[in-house]
Amino acid sequence: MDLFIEVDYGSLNKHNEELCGDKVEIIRDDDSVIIVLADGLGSGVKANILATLTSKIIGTMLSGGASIDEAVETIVSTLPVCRERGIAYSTFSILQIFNSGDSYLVEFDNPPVIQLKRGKFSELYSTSREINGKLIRESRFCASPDDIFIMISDGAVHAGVGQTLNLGWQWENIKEYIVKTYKKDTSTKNFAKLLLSVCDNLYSKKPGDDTTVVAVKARKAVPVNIMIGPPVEKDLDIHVVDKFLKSQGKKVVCGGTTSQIVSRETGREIVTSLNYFNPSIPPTANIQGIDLVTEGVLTMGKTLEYARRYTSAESTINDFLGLNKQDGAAKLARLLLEESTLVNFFVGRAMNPAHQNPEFPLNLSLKLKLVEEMAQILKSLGKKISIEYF
Amino acid sequence: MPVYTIKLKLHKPSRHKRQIIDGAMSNYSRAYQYLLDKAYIELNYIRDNYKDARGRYRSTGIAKWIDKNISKELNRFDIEPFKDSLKIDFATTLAVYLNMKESQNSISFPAAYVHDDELEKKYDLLSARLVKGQISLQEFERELYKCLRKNENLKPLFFCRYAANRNYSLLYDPKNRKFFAKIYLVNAKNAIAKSPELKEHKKLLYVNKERELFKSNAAKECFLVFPLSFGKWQEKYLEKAMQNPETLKTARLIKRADEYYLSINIDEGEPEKIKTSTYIGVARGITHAVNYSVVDDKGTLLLSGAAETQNKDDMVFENDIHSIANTLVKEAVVNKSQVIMQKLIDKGDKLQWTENNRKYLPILSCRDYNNLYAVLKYKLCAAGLPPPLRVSATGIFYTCPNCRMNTKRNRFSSSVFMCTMCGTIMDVENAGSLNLAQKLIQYKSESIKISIVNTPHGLKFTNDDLGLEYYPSNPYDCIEEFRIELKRLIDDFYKSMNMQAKDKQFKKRYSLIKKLDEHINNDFLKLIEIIK
Repeated sequence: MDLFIEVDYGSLNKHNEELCGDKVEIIRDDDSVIIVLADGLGSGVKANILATLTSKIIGTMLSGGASIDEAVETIVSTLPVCRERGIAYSTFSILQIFNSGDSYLVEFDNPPVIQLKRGKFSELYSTSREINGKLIRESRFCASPDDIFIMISDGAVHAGVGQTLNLGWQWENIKEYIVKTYKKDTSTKNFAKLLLSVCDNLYSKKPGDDTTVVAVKARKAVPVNIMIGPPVEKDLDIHVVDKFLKSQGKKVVCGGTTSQIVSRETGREIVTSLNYFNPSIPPTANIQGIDLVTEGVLTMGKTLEYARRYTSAESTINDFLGLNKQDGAAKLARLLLEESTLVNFFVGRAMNPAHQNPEFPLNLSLKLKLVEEMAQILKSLGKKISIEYF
Repeated sequence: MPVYTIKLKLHKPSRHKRQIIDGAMSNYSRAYQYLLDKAYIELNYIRDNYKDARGRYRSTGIAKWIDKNISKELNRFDIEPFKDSLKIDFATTLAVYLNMKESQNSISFPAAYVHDDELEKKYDLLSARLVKGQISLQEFERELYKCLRKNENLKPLFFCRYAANRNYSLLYDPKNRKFFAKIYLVNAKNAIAKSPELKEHKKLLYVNKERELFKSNAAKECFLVFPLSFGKWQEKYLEKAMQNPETLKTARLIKRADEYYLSINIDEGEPEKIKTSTYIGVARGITHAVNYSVVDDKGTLLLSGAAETQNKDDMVFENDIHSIANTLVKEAVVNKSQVIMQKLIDKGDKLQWTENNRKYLPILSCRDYNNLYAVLKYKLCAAGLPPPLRVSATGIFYTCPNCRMNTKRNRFSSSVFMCTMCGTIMDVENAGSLNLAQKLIQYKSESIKISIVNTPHGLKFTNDDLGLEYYPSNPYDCIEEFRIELKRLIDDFYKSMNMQAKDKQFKKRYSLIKKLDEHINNDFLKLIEIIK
């Protein structure tokens, strides 16, 4: 079993604080992903320093092969001591998931990690031991496809205390809410944004504590292949189409000429879809065996807009809801941002005669830029990307 | 046309006056019952012959059934001063009964008054039917109770016009700033010797345009004059009536707990119309009696609030309903709002909630809320606003006003709404009123779904609600042709609108056609959603 681990997170700063006292560190290598959530003592700059040091030290040491005992020992001896309280303190949670599914969870004073298996809550059994005077909880388990792990800082469980909810949004409530909102295709970004949005609303947009949510999802690899633009050499058409069709995973064709090439080489008819009337985004089409057929640069440009909004730090939950639209760009964005784990771009560099029109807003170089920017965004989400030019 | 009713108490009438009023009421009640009994015998004839062109029964039509002969027979009850009023009163009752009978077969024939002799007869008859097993004990008790009530309570006297020389009128004493009622109670045969107190009222003025001086020269009169007592609210209307006596309309003389009241209808005429620009949703609640939210024409929340009952226990009184209605009318006037309410007739709103074995129930029952609707209906009209609109209450406490996600899982507790789609948090009751306020905007922006079916004759565009079945000549370039087809559909609908009015689908089709008609010449495609 080769799993893809999708991770996303978001934080709310305590009201009127410039810096967040929670810090998340994600370290990916070929075999595993290590996620560290550290919550520094207090708030503001001091807490930020404590959390950053904690997460960096743990992340770097664990990925370098050090044991948790060594990492904790280092933290204890390295963290600056708070002048007011006389202690150096930062709570943390560490989740390491290997591609095989083997997982290791270490928690110190943070709210327990919530695990969902097939949408249902599944308790993580842990053992406790003391390292350098700190009581650590450890769990070892095996993650399966579609397992979800939610790591939260204590700001989440304090949300709404004395305001919307008398006792705050307790851990049990958060657990129930996650179970309620679970859908098989919900992305980690969506989970993290949704939970943060609830916390923010419970705090009446004035968080009383730094709040962080990390969502982790183990997924089976979903490769997506995108063919965009016709090859420069017409003779290459058959070769590119053949390679594209033989590649594993979902297939997307972008561009009118490109889809005609695919249709011609495969002998399959293009059927324009009448499903959606949206003047700003051209309609999609259907070719048997292809998962999505869209127009080229305009749709890709719009998809990139969706992707920028999706990955922006200022994005709101409404930006995610935008992906549920039925236009070609939203469909492509959903496929790339939420479903794919590996994306192969087959980029044709032939000049489109329509793009020679000086009034046309996009040209070839821009098309290539669009693909490159899209690739960058997808990489930042932890997806594996390959681009081939023809 | 708002009509207010003010109730004025006859101030300490003497025993003699009381006897005269009771006598008049008894006569009136007996005459009224006489007409009902006679009508019951001729009910089929009346039913067949007194319908108007629209198939409805009207009091003006039914009143014609009382011909000269019946009218003459009524004289034996000495009710000459009330004969016109009696005819209208009776005809209205019968018209209401016949109209209701058309839709509710179980409705029983009205009864006005059961005389002592009649009561005994009825008792014997009911007992016999009970013994024979023709009616159950429950039915026996119900019928007997009805008869007893009708025996105890006399029918209030109805006065169909405000006039100085018949029926009733008001008099004003400018010196002492007091009001009096002049009420015609007996016929000429039984005229009453003028009471000495009338001579004291030398300077009473009629409350009418002419402001004539009240005079009483005859030795005997058919009317009595009563001093009136009332509160400040009534005084306000009486002062208005002094300025504009035409507003004084019909009245009833009522006896309640040995006191007599003159209940006068005042027609204030059409108020100045307020053009609405916002919407106010009014939802019932568990914490507050009702919650309201005002939104602008884009659906953005402008303000929200709540109205409470006076007392904190479970009982909701009529006063509470009026007080809540007044709060809502005030808000609606200030914000120029169209009021939107829940339709709690056949489906509930699922507001009640059980948590930790405790049941949380709405403060207003469905009945109370529907009463509030009835009160608002006339109060809003009186304020110049349109009547409240009622929309389906389904899911209003479970639908997110932000993302429209509708699921029971959105309710976190009895009072907290937590959207499982977008994370919106709000008070459940606020969510309910906000959803109501946004309903019309939502409806207006809702698309018309057209399905496309592949048939042997080519692609077919269909919509059953619209009655659309259209085969485009070229499905890939058919926008203009589609517009023409829809225009034809709209025209056809309006031409045959009257014929379709009884069709079950009519309302739905009409609303869709209206919506299409508004957009057909410009952006109609925005309205259309193509589905497979």
